[in-house]
Amino acid sequence: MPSLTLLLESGVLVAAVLWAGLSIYVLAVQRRRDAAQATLDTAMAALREPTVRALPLADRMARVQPLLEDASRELVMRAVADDRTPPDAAAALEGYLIDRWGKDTLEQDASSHRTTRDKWRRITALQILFRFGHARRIELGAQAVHEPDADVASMALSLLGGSDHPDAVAVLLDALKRRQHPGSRIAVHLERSPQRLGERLRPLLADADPVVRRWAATLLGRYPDVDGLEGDLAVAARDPDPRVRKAAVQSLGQTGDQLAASTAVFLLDDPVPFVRAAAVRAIGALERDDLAEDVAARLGDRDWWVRFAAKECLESMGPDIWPMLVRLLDDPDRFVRNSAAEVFQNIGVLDSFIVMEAATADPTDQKVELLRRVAAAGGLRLTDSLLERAGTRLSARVRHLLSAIGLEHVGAA
Amino acid sequence: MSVEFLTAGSIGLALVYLFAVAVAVVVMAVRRGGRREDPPADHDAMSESRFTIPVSLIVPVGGGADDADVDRTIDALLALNYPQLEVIVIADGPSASEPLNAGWWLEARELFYRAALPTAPVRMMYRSARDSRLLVVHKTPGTVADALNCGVNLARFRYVVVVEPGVTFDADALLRAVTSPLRDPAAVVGATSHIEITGTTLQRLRSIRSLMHSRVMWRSSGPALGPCDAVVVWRRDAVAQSGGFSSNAADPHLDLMVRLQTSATPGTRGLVVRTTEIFGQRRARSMVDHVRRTARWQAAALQAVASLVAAGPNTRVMLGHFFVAEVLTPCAQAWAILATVAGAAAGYWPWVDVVFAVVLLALGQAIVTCAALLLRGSVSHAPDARGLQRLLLLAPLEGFGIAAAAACARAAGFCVFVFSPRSRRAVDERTPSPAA
Repeated sequence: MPSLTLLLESGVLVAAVLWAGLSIYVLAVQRRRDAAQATLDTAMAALREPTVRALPLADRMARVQPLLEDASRELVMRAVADDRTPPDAAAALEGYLIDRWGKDTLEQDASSHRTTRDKWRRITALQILFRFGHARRIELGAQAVHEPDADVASMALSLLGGSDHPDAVAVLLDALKRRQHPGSRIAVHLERSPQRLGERLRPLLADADPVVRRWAATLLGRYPDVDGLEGDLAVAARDPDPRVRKAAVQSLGQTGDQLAASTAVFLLDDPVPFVRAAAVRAIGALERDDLAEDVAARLGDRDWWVRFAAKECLESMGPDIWPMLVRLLDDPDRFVRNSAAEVFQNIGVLDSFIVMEAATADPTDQKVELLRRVAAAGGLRLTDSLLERAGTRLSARVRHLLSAIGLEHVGAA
Repeated sequence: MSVEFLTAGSIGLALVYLFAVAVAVVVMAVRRGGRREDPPADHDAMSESRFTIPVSLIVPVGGGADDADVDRTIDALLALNYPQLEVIVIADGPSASEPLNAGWWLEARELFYRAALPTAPVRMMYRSARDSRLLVVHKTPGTVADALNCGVNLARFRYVVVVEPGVTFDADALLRAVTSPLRDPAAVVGATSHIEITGTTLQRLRSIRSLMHSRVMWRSSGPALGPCDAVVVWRRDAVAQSGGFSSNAADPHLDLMVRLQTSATPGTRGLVVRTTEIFGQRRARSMVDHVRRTARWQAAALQAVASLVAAGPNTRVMLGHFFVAEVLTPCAQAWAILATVAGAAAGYWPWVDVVFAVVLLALGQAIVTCAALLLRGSVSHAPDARGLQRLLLLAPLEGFGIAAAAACARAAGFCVFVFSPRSRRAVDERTPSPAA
């Protein structure tokens, strides 16, 4: 079939030409990239020279001008926006950027975008405006926050979060109320704001929108010195929205005292599991070991995550709570027994008992009985773990002790 | 119409289709021009914030894993720039956890957890006294999916990420990987990041092309399926509710991506995002490993396509993209070669045409690779000028060497899909019933 042969022959020829052409193009693009980087490196090296650093801004700009004549706007913008560029070098490059292309171009770049290329320029322009404190930065930042594009909005939120301009916080709080972006994204930036937000967040606890109340309660955990905050958060802990209750009790755990503890105990019986789990963790954060009984009761909660939180909370309370744990070893709920044994193991009480008793020729009946109950509640793997932890020197004696009191293979409870 | 004419026509059609695909890809790549268009990410805020959702990192360690690789991976994971994380190593072999004991000061600990997903029994658990974020689990050997499910059971945090030993990455890798899910935690149940093969090897070209697919084909934030070499961030609750990773699937991750995006169960269905982020790098695999993996991936791709076809009209865009990239194009390539060989054997055309066909396909693949290298240049860790020259020259050779082996592997994967009852069961398991 000559036509197939012709198709293949011509196809090979066309493909070979295309491959060669495209390869040359790729190499040319790479060379352009390298050249651009070399230009930038030269300019940066010049700006890092001690003699140049000592010069006034106008003179530094003049020094880089001949070096950057062939540089594209994007290249200079990238260098100015880059955090790794030292401030004095960035200032000279920014001066050069505005001198050559004009401030209006930079503001225009920061105000809108259509293509992905424009988007990159917009984000970089916003970074430059904020880095050098331009007058229109908050206005253009706010405009970007309201954009549907997640990348642009994300960068604007971040820049506003790092700004010490009072209006920056207003824009972030407004964005929180508009609910255009997930609250957690805005909260990340509100929390790292260099400004003190306690008094501005407090009225938001009474906002009509539960999402705003929730984030206000969460963020207030950072401001323990705000007068009357514990009382306000205790009120928020009785909010009809469970997310607000959870946030309030979390913040009470960070900032509160007596009222916080009583509120957390109250919320241990909340109908919503994640609120109960947060209340348990708040008690742990408040270091209220005297509330161990209340927390231990949650080991038998109907929700797994509440049980898990209770277990972690009890562990954080340390070895002093062991007498209370003993009572849980015979609980009818298997999870409660298992968890009590696990807490025994993790607070170190089990190991110290075993090691002490293994070293004793005549272990006391009371302690042997306790060991039997812990091992029965924890199961075979708990005993095996114990043997492995005891190490080669002690494991033989521990094994002997365990088998002597019938504990080695008690099986899972 | 003669058989000869039909065969020649089908070869011509396959070649025209492949040419059209290559041209479309090149045009898209050249239009982007290899420029850096991805917006700079702000990782500082995320890495310091208590609102950044914590992550459980699962490291499955099979019997054949290299101890040094496992150790390095754990070290790198614990050094990640991330506010709150835990590392769960699932050691499947009889002695896979032993080499870790000394270096990480492992202490046997019993840990009661919720076994939401059924797995092979756990034998022993160890907590590191050196870094309490590390948990090593020694379990009865099972499939990779079984190890992953065990890790999901033990995970304490909302997101789980599986990282295989041998992957190297920088401290911000996890922040890059979770950026997409953190932007919309309610809708996104999974997000894939690339793992790039390093060195000047032919396998690297494939991973560079895969990155290009993500940039030009999967750019929209709609439903997506991940690449072959990837790290996936999963939302743990969605994984648990969907029944976890399937041991019947050729690729448990790809299977789960399909299930989560086609599920009819409320609360389970969500979006998987294919990002253009590079999580890290790994060394090229041995040829045997590479071929085996290619075969498995082909079977997995066919399982995915079969399930997507059954899932209904909502997944058409995803199905279209995936079908073109993973099924139609390899089939067209295979057909062009096989039909030319058959025609030459039947005496329809000379044997030199077979050589032309092979050279044409190799050059076609090289053209697509050139486009991929153009785009790769805009991202960090791009090959330098010398490396780029070498890769450009290697590109046509890929068609003669590794692609032939890959074609055989793909054919094997196809046979596995068609003839293996386990493979069909995997499709049946995830196909939603009409009632649902």
